[in-house]
Amino acid sequence: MLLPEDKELISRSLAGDHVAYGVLVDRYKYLIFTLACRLLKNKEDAEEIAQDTFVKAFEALKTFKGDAKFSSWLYRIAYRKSLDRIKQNKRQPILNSIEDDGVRKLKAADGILEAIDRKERKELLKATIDRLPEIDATLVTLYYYEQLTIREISEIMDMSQNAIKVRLFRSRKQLESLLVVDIKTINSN
Amino acid sequence: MHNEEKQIDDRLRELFSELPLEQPSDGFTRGVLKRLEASPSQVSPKYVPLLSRTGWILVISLVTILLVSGFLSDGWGSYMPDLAVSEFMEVFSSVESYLPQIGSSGILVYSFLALILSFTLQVLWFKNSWLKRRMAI
Repeated sequence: MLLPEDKELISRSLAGDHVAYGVLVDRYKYLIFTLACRLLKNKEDAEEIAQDTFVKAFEALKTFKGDAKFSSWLYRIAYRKSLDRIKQNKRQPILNSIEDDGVRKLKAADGILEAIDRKERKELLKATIDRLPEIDATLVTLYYYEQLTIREISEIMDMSQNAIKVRLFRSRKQLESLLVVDIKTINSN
Repeated sequence: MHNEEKQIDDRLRELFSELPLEQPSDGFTRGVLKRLEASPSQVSPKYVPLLSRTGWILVISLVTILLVSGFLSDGWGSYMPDLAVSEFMEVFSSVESYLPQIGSSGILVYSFLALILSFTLQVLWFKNSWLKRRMAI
């Protein structure tokens, strides 16, 4: 549902108040930029797409019904714009997947992960997410990072809830596997 | 979700919570607002038809009446009121030598007058409408 603090700003933005819209941009720019970074894997492109998202959202603001969170509506626009950019760049989607039999459990490597410096751990996780295919990186970001529900993610990504669940399961396995490999590499150095 | 999966899920959630959000450039919001101000109009121009639905009905009705009258008429004055067009007909008949078939039907004269009237009205109407649109932009 639409947050009350957003409602007032949206009403003022609809009346043409750019300052009010600026407050909304400030509030959501980090989330949208993060999502664009995960999808595009390039900060310059991500900044451009995030700005396009807010411009497009302002133009289409009167179509926002308020039955969902404003952030979910923005995510949907950002997701579509990012996919368009990927197609425009004619970039092949990353399809490499790690076989399940090679997967080692994150639990086993957890002790090593704990031993790694917090800053290094963050960098490691970011690098691992960047190695995931675009859609999977978006999915885990929305689920683990933004903590959105399966239903919200299915609306943003225009996929069925079952498809999201299956894809999330695979993405989790892949993320786990990549993390374990990276941890092992760090550990062996 | 199995217990083991749940544990991994929770662990990943924990790990993700340590990640900070990506930071866009300092001028991000300013850039968005600049683009909004630069756009010519926030409201896309609404399509306004030159003729309303009622207008079209009237035009189509008028044209249909004229056409049906033209086809059903067997000569001058059978359907139309007898207007004082004798002077007009005299002038008209002077060109009859060149176009003898024109002067033979009164319906044609009415149609011709209606066409001129319609054209004049359309010119005035279109001019007025054009000026209104320009003022709105």
